[in-house]
Amino acid sequence: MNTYELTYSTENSGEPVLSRVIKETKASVNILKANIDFDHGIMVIGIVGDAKDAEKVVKAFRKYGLKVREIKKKIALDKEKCMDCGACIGLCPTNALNFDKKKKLELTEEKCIQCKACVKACPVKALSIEE
Amino acid sequence: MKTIEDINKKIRNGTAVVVSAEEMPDIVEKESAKKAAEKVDIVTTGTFGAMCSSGLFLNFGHADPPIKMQKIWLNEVEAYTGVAAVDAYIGATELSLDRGMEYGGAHVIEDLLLGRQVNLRATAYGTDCYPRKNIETSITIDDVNQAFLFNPRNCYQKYNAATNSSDRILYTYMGTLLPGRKNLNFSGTGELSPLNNDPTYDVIGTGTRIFLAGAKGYVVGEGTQHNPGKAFANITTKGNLREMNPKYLKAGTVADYGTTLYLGIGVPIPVLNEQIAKNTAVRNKDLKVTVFDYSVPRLSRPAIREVDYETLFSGEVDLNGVKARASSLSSLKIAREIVKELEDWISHKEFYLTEKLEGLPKDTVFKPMKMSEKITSISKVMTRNVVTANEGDSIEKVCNTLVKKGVDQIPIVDSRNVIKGIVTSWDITKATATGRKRLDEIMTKKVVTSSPDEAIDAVSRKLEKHSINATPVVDGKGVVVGIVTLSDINKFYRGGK
Repeated sequence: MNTYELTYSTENSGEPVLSRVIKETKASVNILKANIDFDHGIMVIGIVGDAKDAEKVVKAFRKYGLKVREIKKKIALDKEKCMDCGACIGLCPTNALNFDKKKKLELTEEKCIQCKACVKACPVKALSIEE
Repeated sequence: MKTIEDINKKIRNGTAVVVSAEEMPDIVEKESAKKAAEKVDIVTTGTFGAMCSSGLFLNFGHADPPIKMQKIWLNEVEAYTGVAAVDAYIGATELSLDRGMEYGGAHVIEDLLLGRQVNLRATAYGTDCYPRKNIETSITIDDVNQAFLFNPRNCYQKYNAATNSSDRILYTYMGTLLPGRKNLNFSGTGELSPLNNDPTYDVIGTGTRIFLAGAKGYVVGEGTQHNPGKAFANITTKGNLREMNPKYLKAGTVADYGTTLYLGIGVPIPVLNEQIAKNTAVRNKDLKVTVFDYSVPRLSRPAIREVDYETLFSGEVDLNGVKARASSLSSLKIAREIVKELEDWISHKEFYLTEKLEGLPKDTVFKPMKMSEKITSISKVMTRNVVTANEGDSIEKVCNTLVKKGVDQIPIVDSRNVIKGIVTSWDITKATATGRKRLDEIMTKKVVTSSPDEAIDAVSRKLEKHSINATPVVDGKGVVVGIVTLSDINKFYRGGK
């Protein structure tokens, strides 16, 4: 899944841009985060499929005046700092964080959608988002 | 049957049989409690988790000319000095003046343990014997005389679990709680937890030698809020910071709550008789805690259900039809390492058991605070005659109402007076600037509401948290029955109402 950040402006935040794009491209889009006011806003989406599918969708969004930026940031787990408490596990919306059989914290990077819920919750700053 | 001295003799001979509290249940089940008591000498228990009620006593030695140190800051974290000159106590949860929740007393303790330089700043009023009024210097753990942890409330037997039924995220001492009961946080190590293996409080007591963050520490006695009647016992502990291992002492920040110290504690339980063998055979599935809903900011929160530690450790708990992911705030992995290390100490003859001098109290109760004032609910201060508008109204009409009635916000309701949104004068200003015409385009739909019986302090905190000036008061069906503004609350605090 490719992740993108869409920025809405005054001109298009009242328009049903997302549904138009989905109808046109028939893409499967997963809304990961949305904070849209009537005059501006951002939305983070995951586009299901390969790079070619994603490109098509991005093009369509740009046609309607949205700013599109690919999120290439990666989650990082500092195993030296981590104390395997698991405070992050229940907060992860995609089950990217889990315990292994020995109750050691495991991170599956591919599942991460950079929501940062775990970054804030980690008591010892063992989790971070890096570019 | 056996005495502590018998067991210590076996440790000396290298023949003591040590098993962990996770192994003991199977042994007792297979061979009976009687046989297990004959065979096993020590059951090792352990926990690793946030223990806020921890702190460090320090003695800095005297300056020349001497200073009494009436107020002191270590890396800008204030320490308590209301004891003799140049003694201080730094608590884990005290926040720094310059970095707030990022750095607190727990971090100072960790920095000292790691051998790092810590800035010391002190002021005093000056006396004939202590003339100096200010001092600033830099110290490490090697520069101080004593540095011992003295923790008034450690090693809770077990702890209630927390979830959140509201539609907003909560940051609590039980960690981050997502809306809609999406997650559940719990604490403790269940069957491995020291006090769960001594549920009648016959073994652990004043003078019990323990593993405290990698050092040999001691149980001082019952901890604060020790609550034996509800199986919520805890202990006061003491140990030398210099002998501790940073692996088992870590400073942390619980998001938007504060700083805390993560500590590892291990307690050896001597298997003196059949009853103790039975007690140490407790299993996670037999240890239950209650899940409380932290969305109610009152002392007695609604209980959602009981749940055992086996279910908690499974990672998923059913909360009346909602599957909540369960996260621990303690580390079972590190607790197991502590138990192993304690076992190694014993087998290497580095650790001997002590006889307790005094048991933990079995009959104390944990009382709530005596309040000299009654709790005031917001229904006492709210405005009952609420100015509202309907979803279909034009912005212009709402604008007129705002001016005519002299209010800064208007709850938007449907025909049954059920809350649908809220519009502030700032929303109107923005709408005018961007040429919006319809109310439903500009109103906030996710309204922060309150119920009439909520305490004023809780509502005041709510307004502050969401940076808003007012909250509509709604009944159970969402019908607007009042509105409370910041100025209503301020008036109340000033004694105006």
